[in-house]
Amino acid sequence: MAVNWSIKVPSRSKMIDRYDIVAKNFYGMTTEIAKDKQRNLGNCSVSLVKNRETPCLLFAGFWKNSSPQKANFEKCCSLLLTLQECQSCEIQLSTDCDWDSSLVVFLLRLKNEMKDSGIKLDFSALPPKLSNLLALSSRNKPPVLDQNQIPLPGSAKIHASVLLVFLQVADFLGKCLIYFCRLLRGGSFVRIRDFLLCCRDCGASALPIVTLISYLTGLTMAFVGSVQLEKFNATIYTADLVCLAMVREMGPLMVAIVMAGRTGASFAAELGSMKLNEELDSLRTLGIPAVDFLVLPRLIALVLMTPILTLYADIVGILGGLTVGTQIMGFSSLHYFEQTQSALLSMWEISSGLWKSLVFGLIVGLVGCYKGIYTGSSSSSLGRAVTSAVVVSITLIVITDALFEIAYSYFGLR
Amino acid sequence: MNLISSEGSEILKVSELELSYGEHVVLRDLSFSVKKGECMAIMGSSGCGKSTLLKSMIGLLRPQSGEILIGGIPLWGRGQELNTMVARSFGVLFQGSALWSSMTLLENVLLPLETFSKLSSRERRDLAFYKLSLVGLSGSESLYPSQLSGGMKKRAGIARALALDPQILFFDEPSAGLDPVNSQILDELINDLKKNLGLTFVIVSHDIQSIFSISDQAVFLSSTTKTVAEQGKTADLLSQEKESELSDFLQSFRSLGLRA
Repeated sequence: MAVNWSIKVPSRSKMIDRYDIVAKNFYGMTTEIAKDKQRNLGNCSVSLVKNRETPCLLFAGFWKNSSPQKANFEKCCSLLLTLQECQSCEIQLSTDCDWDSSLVVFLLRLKNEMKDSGIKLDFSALPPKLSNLLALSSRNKPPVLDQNQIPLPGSAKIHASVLLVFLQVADFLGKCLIYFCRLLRGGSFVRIRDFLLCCRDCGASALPIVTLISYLTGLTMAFVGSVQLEKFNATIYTADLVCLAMVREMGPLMVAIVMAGRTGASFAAELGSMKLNEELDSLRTLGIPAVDFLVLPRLIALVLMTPILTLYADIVGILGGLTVGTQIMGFSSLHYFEQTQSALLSMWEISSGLWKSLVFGLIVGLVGCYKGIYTGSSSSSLGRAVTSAVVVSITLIVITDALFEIAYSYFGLR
Repeated sequence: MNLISSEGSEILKVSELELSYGEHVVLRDLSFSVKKGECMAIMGSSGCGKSTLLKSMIGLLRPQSGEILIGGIPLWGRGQELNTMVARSFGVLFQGSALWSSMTLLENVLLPLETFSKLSSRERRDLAFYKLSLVGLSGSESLYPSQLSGGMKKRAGIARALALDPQILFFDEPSAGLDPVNSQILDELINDLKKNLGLTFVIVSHDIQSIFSISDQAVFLSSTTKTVAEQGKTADLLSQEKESELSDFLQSFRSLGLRA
């Protein structure tokens, strides 16, 4: 007696027509389709044949990933489980069966599912290609990850990662300090050529953007100030306002933010991609410390260039104010400059801003290089490193700026 | 997707291909064909245009003239745009494996399936696990490419290339960056896949050892004439003695082998 169970496609002719359309779209060919029509495309079946010594599971039809009709796996399993008394079942393929990896996956799943049921599946009657594929995919390799590792509890993980970051930062800062001292003593790996290139990249090349931003900052402040001062009939004090705000606050801050977005990000991206390309490792194997060779020239160049750019930004900002003063408010240039000069009581007004910008430059350089050197090993971690280099440096810049102002007023320097 | 073609028919045909970068001619009047189920090696000394040929066959570089037919359909359409349906019918293993580093191996294999197949998520997962197990990477599904050795990366690259059940697999320097032992293991894997999946392989390589052990047909590109210099069964080509560019090429390899 043969118990037959198969999955029927609802309407065979409909299915073939559908395939015709798909096939025409795919290949623009019609000649081969006649052949495929005879092969009952879309119809896959599993049938259980019980009329022999060992029962046999027969696979027939079109077993492909692209086939519109899929066999019901659960139904097939429950069918096999009715064979409890037989212990063993042969798997066979009908001669006209057309298959690809979907059949292999189906058989693998079946094998896995039946492992504990006591029914032995016999794959020996399958065509050699198919049984080879089954064998190939069953040779399991043990997982590479060490399973014996004792997992840390959640809070300990957080503690460990915070400690790790802290240690990394300390290690990086310490190295920077040590190699800087070695540079002063002589015998460092810093190449003067690298240093000059970095100076050009973060100094001269930044002039256009710094010019634009500081000029517009001066201009805007003059506009805002003049509206308020007009109420007291004191518009000439716009010159005082613009020049004091520029040299004390806006000049250093604007330059630092431009440097963070421009140079800090480029340091992180450059060093990060060097790490991904194993360039940092190759330096290390040669005995050249990455901090010495790559970080120091960038850091020193940036620390030196930021105050110079800030001084330049101060001047351009004052010129922005001058434009408003002469063109809108009608003062003469001489009058405006005299007022500006009288506002700057001492050199300290300017140098207090320059000291700030020196520290800002240091922050941008350190954060950019640190993020680049300690980037992960995937391309997405490089993106994260660049983003966080910019975010962290701007945050630190604003915090440091506030601390500077507090300190200046505490020591009576304002 | 599977292309309708029977055993022994031409599955890849390159005819009169011309390609140049500006003034610099890289390939000139190049024609050859690969039959279904064959393993074709493309060899030549460096600078002969192997990589350029591969790039144009996998749809990355548009040739100036000539035709590339895959399963009888042109890879570059009439308006010279890439026929993406045809492009999906082959898999490529890049020289550096080119795995997506932010995804696990499983996700790497799943991505083409998720994008181009209408299977259920369970079926896709099963398929991806199966493809990884075919190349001997079962148990490593949740690892990231950065955690793998060079040989494992290549295997994972093959698993991803196999994801959509391609008809042709293109390999760019499969043995590059591998030690001889790993290179041999990879060759064995390729032979296993060739025997059991019935795929067509096109391998671009200059590793004579590996070409000899996996390919049955070979094409030798000349760096002077920029076209096919020799073509035939690998064993015949590699054993030929008569004076030619190929024999010089082989001779240089033999002398290197002797010194080593």
